[in-house]
Amino acid sequence: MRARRFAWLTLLLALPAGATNYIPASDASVVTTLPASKNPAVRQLQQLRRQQASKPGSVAASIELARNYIASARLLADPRYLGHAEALLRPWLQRADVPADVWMLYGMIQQSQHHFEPALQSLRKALALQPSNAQAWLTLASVLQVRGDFVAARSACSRLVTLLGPAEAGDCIAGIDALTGRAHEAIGLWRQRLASGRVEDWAQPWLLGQLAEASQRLGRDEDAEQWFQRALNGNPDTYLKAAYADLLLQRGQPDKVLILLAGDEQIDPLLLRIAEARQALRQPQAQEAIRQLQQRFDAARARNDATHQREEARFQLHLQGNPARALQLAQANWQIQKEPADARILLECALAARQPAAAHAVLRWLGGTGLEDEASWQLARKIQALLT
Amino acid sequence: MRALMLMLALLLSGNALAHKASDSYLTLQVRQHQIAGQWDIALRDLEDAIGLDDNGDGQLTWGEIRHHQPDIVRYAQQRLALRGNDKPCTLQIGTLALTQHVDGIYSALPLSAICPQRVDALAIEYRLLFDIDSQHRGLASVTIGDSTQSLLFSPEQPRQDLRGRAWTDTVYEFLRQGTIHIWTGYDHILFLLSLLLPSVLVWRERRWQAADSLRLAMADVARIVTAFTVAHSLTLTLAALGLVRLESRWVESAIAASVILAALNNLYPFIRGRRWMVAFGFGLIHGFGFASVLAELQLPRQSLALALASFNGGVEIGQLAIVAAFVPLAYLLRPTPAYRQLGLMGGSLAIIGVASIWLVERLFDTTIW
Repeated sequence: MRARRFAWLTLLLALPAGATNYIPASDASVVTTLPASKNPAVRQLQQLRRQQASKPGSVAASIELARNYIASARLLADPRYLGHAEALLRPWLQRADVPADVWMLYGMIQQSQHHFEPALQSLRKALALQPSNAQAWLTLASVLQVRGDFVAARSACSRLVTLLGPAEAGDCIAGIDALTGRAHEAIGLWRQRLASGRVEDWAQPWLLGQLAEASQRLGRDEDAEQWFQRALNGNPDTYLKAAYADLLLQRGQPDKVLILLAGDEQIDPLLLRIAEARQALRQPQAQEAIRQLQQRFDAARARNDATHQREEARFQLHLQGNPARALQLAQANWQIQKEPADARILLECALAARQPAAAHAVLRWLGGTGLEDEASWQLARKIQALLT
Repeated sequence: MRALMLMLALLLSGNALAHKASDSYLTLQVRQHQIAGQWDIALRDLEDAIGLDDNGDGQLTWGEIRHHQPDIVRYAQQRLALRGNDKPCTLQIGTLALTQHVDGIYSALPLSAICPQRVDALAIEYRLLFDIDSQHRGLASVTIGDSTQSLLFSPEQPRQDLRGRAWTDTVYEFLRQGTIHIWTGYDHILFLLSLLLPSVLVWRERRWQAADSLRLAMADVARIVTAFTVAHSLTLTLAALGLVRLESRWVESAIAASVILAALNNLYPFIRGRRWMVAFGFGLIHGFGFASVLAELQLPRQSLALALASFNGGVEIGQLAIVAAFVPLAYLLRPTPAYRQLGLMGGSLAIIGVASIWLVERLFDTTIW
């Protein structure tokens, strides 16, 4: 395992040092552009950083800066900011009396790294110190949801009624309803919320995305298309774009995917969809995209980063034609998270690798939770057919 | 801000962040007491750590980078420590260049270090960026002597120790391999046994009879074993060094034939007193057989002679063990008719049978059994 993990690294570093080094011709030549330097969020960060540096003993300043780092990480899809946040929180985590907010922020960082069990521990510590911490409850609910622990997630959501208000709690619970056999109710509630006009700006894209995905799962592709289109008018993030690209790919519209994701090759999950679209269109650039994706997955493996297993399983299945390897990845992924997309990829891989037994756990889980997902059930039927 | 955080909680679930996190790449080659290599650090990380964008326009020019060369060198030098045999090595960083990795442009820093003595054990202490980025990782590839190892540095593991492969490890490993290969080399064993079966007997009056003298019997065994050893060591060395190459099909077939002839000689002894010459002659061919196995083991370049000698040594030790187990037993049993009939005659017939199957299989590249 260790050998495999490092195989690419040894190959890369076996190149004679200096083989690919270069020196620009003149002092004026631009070597690189710093990402998002003009983004106001980054400016604000710089200001907060200066504040924190002037008050190193102030936990409040550190917490504020860490919050902003985490927000920037999300906004810019850039994990370096999470590293900054974590480095900032570390000294506070080592003291005897760790503030609740520090535990909560640490839990959010761990959640982003897909270390879900440690995240749950951190969040519970935060809540033990401060049971009224709405942010911690909300984060807890979302981690539990990703883990497929719907009963506990629902319970966490219900805490928000008194802490935030019935509308926010309702949104949270609807998210779980949508996965546990009450998708119609959830869609109804979210539509009402939108129609009421009392949804804050930041919540609109999320709501629209939820509506789109739930509709797609129920097989209402036209509805899903409309919700996605509406969400795109706002400021669509990586997650939304990826989800919409998946709908377009499923409906056999790869050309629209390339328009949607034009210029997004730097973002790994989007590069995956771009590569699939190019392959569907039989474009020669598909090979280049595949090669780049392989490099990125290898780079992640070299640093022990296992957050991309769902994407890598898809990559191995659709783009490298290796269903056995894809199945391995999908199974490892299923141990960590249980969202509908995780179920689907595992079923797809089990089918392609002709190993119906591998799908057993997922099929049982689907039955137990009552997830309404057309795509999953279609795959399940095909797998049943293999068994008979 | 509260609203923003709530959104994050809802949206962060299950969403892998898009860009790559921060890595640096370190390659080191250790030769004797000197270390050379390169350290690639992302420009993005240097900007975060010490600030390179002097005019704040969001673009890094070569001029800005060159202007900060001393800062970069000092920053890096303070965060990497090398110790050879637990004594500090002096680290020098040269003039930087640029290089490209998966996620952008990196500075390429040439490294060199001098250690007080020849480095057998290297300790690396890595502290780059950990104070501002807990997710930063150092990916290192270090070569000492023949072995290259890959290391991952993190805030949890900022220090790693490694040793080159000690000469004792090389000796042990190849000794072991040599012993294994003679013990699983049934054709070699049967050849040797065929020659040794009559060592405790003498040919008199047109038949085999128990030998009277232990000394003479031992001398015979010693001559045969020594001749076989010298011969196969010779050709093993020649083949392992690439000085002589023979096609494996013929070598293997010839070995099988040699076993048949050695065993046949026990039934129709046309060579009696000079069996050591047979051992030598055919031993030359057996040596090529060992060499083909050794080729798969990847002899280390820097300690080739040592590895070869150790492998040979392993073969001899294994061989001696077989002889030491067989000969005393044979000597004790030699007066019995069972030894002559069952052991010598019966055994030789069986050996001829097995070796004949091998011969056909190897000559025609097929499997019968």
